[in-house]
Amino acid sequence: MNDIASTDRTKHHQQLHAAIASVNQLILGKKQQVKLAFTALIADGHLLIEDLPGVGKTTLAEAIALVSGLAFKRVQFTSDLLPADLIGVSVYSAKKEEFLFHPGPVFTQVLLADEVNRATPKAQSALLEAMSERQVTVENETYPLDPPFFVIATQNPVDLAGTFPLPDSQLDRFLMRISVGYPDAAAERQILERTNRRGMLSGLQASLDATAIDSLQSEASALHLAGPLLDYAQALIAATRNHASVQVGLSPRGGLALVRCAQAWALIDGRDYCRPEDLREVFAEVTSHRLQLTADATSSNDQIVGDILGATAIP
Amino acid sequence: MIGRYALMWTMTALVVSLIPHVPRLPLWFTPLLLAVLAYRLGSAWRGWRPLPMLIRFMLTAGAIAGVVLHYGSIFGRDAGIALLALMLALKITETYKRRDALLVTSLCYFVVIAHFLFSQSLTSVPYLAATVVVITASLLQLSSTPVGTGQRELDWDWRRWVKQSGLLLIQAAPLMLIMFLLFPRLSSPLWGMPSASEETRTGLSNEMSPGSIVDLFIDDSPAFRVRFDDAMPPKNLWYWRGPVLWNYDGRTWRGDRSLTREKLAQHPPQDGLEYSYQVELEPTNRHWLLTLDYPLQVPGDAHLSVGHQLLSKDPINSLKVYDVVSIPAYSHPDELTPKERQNALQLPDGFNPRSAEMMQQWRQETPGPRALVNRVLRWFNQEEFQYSFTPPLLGRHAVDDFIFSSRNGYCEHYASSFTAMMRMAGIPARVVTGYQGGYANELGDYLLVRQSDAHAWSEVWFEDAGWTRIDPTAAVAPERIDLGSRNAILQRRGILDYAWVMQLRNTFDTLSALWNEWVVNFDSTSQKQLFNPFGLRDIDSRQLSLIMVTVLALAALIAMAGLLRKPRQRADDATRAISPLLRSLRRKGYRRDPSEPLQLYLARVARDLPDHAKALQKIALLYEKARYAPEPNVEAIPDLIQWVTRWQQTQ
Repeated sequence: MNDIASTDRTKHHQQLHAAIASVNQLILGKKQQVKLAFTALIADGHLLIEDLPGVGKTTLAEAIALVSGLAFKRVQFTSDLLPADLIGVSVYSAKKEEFLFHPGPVFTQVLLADEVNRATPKAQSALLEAMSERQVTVENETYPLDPPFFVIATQNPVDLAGTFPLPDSQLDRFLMRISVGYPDAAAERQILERTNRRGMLSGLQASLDATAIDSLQSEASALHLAGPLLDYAQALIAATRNHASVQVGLSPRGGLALVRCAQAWALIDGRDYCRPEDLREVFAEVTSHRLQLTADATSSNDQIVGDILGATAIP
Repeated sequence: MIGRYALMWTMTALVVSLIPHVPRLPLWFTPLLLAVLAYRLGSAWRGWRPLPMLIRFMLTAGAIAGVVLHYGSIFGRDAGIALLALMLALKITETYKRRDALLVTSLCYFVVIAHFLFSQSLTSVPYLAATVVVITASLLQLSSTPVGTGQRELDWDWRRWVKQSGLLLIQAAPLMLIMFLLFPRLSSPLWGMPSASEETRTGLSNEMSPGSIVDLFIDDSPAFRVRFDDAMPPKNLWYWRGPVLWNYDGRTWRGDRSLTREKLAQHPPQDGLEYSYQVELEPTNRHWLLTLDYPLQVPGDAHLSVGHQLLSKDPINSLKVYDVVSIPAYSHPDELTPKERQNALQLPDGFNPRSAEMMQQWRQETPGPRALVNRVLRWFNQEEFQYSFTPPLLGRHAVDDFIFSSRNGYCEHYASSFTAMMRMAGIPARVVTGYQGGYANELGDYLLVRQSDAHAWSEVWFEDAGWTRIDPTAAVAPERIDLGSRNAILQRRGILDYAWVMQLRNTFDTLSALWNEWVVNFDSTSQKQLFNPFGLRDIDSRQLSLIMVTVLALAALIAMAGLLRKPRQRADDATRAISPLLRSLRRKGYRRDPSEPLQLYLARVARDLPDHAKALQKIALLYEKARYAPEPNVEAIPDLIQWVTRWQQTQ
């Protein structure tokens, strides 16, 4: 019994590494971001990718959806998107003489919500409710969403005209916020060399499946957390609250998110325990979007996160 | 309800603190205590029912009655302590709740302190200190026991409690020191100590009958210590004057009340070598103060009697320190008062006819008193007189028996017989008791005189020279004077006389002297002198309190600062194992930011030290496993220690 479980685990790990490797072949020179994205998946959270247009946000999201072998839907958020467009609508069927629920795109396993800040708050909140509740209620009828449910939302931080920035309470629903950034010179050279990017994307093989992901998720949440490590995590969380430029630091939910991400990161690294480095690797992505700065803060969120990492001693 | 272990602790604390008092308590106390303890143990282990209220009440009433019968009252030091001990012992019968156990244990501190009302010598201090540790451990155990039923009882685990209690007491020691040094002291005790009659201490008494001094020969406890301001006088002058005895009833020599009370008249002017010294007298409960022959300048709270005996105004109930100047070549006034002469010639009628006859005859045969004294001494020396601690008993005519038949005795016999013989010959004479000799402790630079140095000698009145000391014992056994009583005879007093034991005792006495000087004798005067180096003179108790409060407040501030500081994380095994490596790297100049993970730090160092890269990498991995991995990985620690040691060896 134990042997079977352990061979299964080994197989799942291999699948995971294969999936990461194939995404890395597509998204060149972004190993860290890819790993973080998978961390969010394994930690059973949702991912917000924030960056300029054209750096590969959508490609990354699609690639992850494809290699994970999960049902995938994509919704382009626009200002006229209605909640019903997202979650579905009941339509009267004359033939059956009753209302029939037509599920919207949210009924899937991986949902790519492109340009999430372009939709109205009403549509945004419909999505965010589905994200946190993992269920959708339409006309007194509750429809659960199949696990795993993984939302990848993207947004453009620069072109803010006509957008509705996500309120802080809703940003908190995203486990991590990552940005992709420009590729380095060598990677960019390779990208330019490629001609058939569309074809490469469709040629991606699904390495994972729902069972594997479910098992990896529960394995990650049970990963060993030693006392000194928790001390360090607590010190980091406390530091976000005590920083002079921060008005609101990490909430306990944010703190839990930090630890869960560190666990997932350690699992991807193939360890059966967390170490301080794991916390440090995921700290910026988990924390940055959750911090509310004071009005007179001169540093950016990322600088403050760096400050905190540099100033918190490892016990 | 307290558990069995808590009960055991309470009982232990009580028993250890009562032990020093047991010899002073009524004989029936010990069986009563044991019975009470046994009953309570039976109640804890066998489930015996608690004693009914009525029986407890009767026991208490009986105990009070017992104290009244034994001491005549329930007041006063001895009766009070007995009452406290009894009530505490009886309290055990109703100690079922934690509150009672805490009360008993806390009162044990008081029982311990009460011992100092009887003796403040260093000997008992280690035991009492250990007792305090036990009591505190008991308190700790009691207050850590979980409240309520159904809670699992704490383990016995005495090491833990004793260790914790020791730590607490060590932490309290500085506070104790501050209070000891700075708490304003009264220049006289708050309450009077019980008078001498209530208690007997070994030592000289103010009468001398056969056998009264010999008891002291086996007592090596210190009688007093002497520090000379300048050089010590030669050994043959070490006669320490105590009670002067005038009255003889054929068996016992006694002091004369009126002569003792009467003050010595003005001294004639003196010249000659003076010795000034300080005496530290162990408590005797008597009035007399020992001095070197003959005291000249004496402390203000004492007077010299007609017999040149120094008497203090109050009995010596605690260690007494006094300064004296003595002059061995004292010239006495020309005249004896009629009262003195009468006393110095007094003899009981109808005793010792043979010696009286002999002395009458000798008086006619010899030209003067000096010649007569010398003749008697020569006689003692040439006849078969022996110095011994085990003389045969003497009959009614003690002098006759001694000088004609038994001829076997110690200083007391010789002094007594000699003085009586002088009086028979019409020469005024008196017996002086005191101590002779002493041990010069070079370590502490003082002279220690023990009870076993007790001695008795004679003084005779010569019309031309006044009172002159004659030691008949010296004529018989000169080595008694040279070597001290212990060495004068071949009989050993068991273990006491082995050289190494003597050595040990002398060293211990040095400690005792320090204890006396710095602790027992630390009074309001020494307290004031404490501040002289700081230019504060004549400090009064208000200023003293102010200083104490300031020092205590400062200490509290320092302690608070220490407590407020972020608690230092206690290093875990892995961190301890790796710290030598980190220290040595730091010495090499590799600084580690506290926020830098050890892995990264070691990897950084490894880049600089490629030869050690492998070892450093291994150590980093082992450290990480030992510290962060699930439990089975604690096995990594021995490996880690091994690797760090190996690394150190390559350096």
